[in-house]
Amino acid sequence: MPAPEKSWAATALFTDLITGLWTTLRYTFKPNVTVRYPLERSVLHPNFRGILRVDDDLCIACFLCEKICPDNCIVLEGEKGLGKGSKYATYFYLDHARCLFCGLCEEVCPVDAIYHSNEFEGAVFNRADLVHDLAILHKGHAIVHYER
Amino acid sequence: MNNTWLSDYVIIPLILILAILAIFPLLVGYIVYVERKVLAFIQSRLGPMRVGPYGLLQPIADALKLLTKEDIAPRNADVFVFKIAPIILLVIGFTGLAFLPMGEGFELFGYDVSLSIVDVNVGVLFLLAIMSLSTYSLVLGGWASNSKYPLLGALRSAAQMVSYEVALTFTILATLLLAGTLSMSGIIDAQREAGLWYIFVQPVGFVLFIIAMVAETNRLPFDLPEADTELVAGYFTEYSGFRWSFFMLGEYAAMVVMSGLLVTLYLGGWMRPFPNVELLSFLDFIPGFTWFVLKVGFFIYFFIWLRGTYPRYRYDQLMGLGWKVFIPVSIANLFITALAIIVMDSVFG
Ligand code: SF4
Ligand code: SF4
Repeated sequence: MPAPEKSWAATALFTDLITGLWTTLRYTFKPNVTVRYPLERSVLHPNFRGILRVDDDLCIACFLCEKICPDNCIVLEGEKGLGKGSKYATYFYLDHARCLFCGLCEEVCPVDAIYHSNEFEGAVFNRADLVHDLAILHKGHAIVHYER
Repeated sequence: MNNTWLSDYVIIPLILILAILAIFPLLVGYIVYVERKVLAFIQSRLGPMRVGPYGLLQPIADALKLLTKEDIAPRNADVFVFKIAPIILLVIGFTGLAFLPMGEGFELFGYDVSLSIVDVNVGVLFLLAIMSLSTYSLVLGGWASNSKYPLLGALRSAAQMVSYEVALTFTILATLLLAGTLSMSGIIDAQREAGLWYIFVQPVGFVLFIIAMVAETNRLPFDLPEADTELVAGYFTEYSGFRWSFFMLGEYAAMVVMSGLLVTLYLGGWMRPFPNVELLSFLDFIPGFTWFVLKVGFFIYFFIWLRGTYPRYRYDQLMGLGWKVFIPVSIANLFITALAIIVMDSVFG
């Protein structure tokens, strides 16, 4: 793109440079947008895709989430329900180290059993701890709220 | 009493020198703090907030970190030159500070204390000579590092400082013609007698000086010698620890010296605004040092403001601007000033 035409007077008086200085001066006194995370927490959008959870009572072990997951995070096995009426998951592992939080599993689930929680503080010291089993997925992992 | 000789030339200057040596590094730390804060505010960020309230202890933490780092020289470096280069820059920066008239003299315990530590009658000339020596430090440091980025940075700094020094000198010459003296405090006195700051007589010179000053101190938008995005850190890429901090100290000292020179030449030094207007004489109770600090502080802020606003110039643009615009304009400015002085003299006697 060619530079816009400038009159020699505008060049000599640095009008464009002064406009720039004016812009930065205005921004100097505007409120800043930084959220000082451990001290203050930002308000999460309701649609925020955080750590995944599975409602054990709803899941019908249909394997749809396992199939659609682009990263193959989910491994599960199910059997015909005894007393429960339908199929249920016997084991269900979800590897958060692989998950890209795309939300496809949540979208595809016919009974809305798997869903994204609003939690994001899932850091652990051992990578294996990122693989959540059914109990953790049902109750939610131990959440550490960092203060400092 | 031969005591006066001792106090005038030895004791008081020594105390002032020690004061500057003690205070200035701390001051630079806080200039860096202000720089980080202002840049952050421009970008809607907060800047340093963690160390102390509002991050106020950050400079001290940084200084401690720098001082406790290992002193490393690259394996193939020319070690002696490598080690001495930052010291040269630091010494030059501090020497420059000694020439700034920072306020009117005052009496303390019966001794006259002058706030310009060295007041020689060729102060401006000496300052220019000293400041142009800083190129040596950058070139030596860049060359001795024996690494490609520092070398490129050093070459750029040499070319840039030589080109802009010419424009700077011509600009200063025009002001010196008006003042008729080379002494820093003499220039302030001349502005007092003339009853106005030279910025009103030399507006073109003022703008030229600001631009050349930014180029001389290697600050954005003319920071090509240290262009982070291209040259890592330019001439001090290989430095770390306290030698690196010497470079920083020297650079910020140069900023303060240049701002001080600008304030002295164009803004009446430590005089209050409009020194000849009686209406404002109630301002006289404020010591001159305050005015000096305020004015220099504004230009330090201006340096930071420029850094937050403009992108870096391309190298050929920088050189083109220097040789094709600033030098001709500064020569024309000098010529017109000289002509105006002759005409005024012959008309009004
Ligand atoms: S959010 Fe995406 S990547 Fe993560 S488990 Fe669900 S489908 Fe797999
Ligand atoms: S898609 Fe829903 S119901 Fe089907 S296995 Fe996954 S979590 Fe269970």
